[in-house]
Amino acid sequence: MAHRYHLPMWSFLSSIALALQIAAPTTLYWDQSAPTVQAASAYVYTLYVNGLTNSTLTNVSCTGTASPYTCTGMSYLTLSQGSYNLTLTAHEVGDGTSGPSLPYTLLVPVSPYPSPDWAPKNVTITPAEQ
Amino acid sequence: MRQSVILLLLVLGTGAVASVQEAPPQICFTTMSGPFTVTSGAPFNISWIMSDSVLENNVSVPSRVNGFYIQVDGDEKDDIGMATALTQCPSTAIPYPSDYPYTYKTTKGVTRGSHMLKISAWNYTLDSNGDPTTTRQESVVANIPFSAGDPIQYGPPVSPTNVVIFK
Repeated sequence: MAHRYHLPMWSFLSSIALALQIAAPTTLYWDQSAPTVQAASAYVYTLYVNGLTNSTLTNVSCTGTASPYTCTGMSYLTLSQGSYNLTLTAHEVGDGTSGPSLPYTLLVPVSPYPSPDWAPKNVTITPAEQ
Repeated sequence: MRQSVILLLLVLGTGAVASVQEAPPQICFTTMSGPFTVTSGAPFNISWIMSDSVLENNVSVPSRVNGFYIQVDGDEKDDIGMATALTQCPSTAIPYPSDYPYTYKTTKGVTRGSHMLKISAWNYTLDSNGDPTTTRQESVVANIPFSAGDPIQYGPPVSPTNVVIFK
């Protein structure tokens, strides 16, 4: 059933901007080919960062009336500043694992926190009144 | 009649108290520079400013603070909560317009000599819905060197007492 393992495709990439937060739960969106929407939701999706296993997506949910279906899942990404290649695989228990999706390049700029603008400034130390 | 007068005085008095507005602290208007010196062994005051807004993805958003950490030398980092918020700097204050000043009195002093104060702010990270999580994130740490010395007598010497003249 090769059609079950079409590569997941990123579709709503802007949502990954949430990864700018430090250690933030991040919602990922992708398109998934599958015989039914229930089958797409039942696959186990694994996220890879720069080719290394990162996490299994949780709260996976797929919607749509025809394949490919639009799927969402959660991951708890902890990424520091830099460039990363994110890929995704789909696995069906007892039936194998797809190849990786095309990579999505995620650029993580300096996180808004911590920011020098946000740190205490003009700090003053004085003797306390007796 | 007497009760009415008393009641009126109470109302006026309450209004007068409520209208009192503390002046914004000097740190709103002046960039403080050291050296900072405190009295050894005695608690001391720390005052600082937090920006009222920060840039997030090039958008100015309100600053979000849930507490502060202080650390003196190698001591354990101390979560001091929100400390005491002072009157907000006025919008015309230079160089800290509309920023938020805070102050905190330490619970203990330090020994004579040189010391380093580290102070940072923290807040809770937000989840994908914008709701606070239980995970804290910390700001850049500000390092402030200071020293502690014994109290200095600035006045004239105390007069000799119990003077005796021998033959």
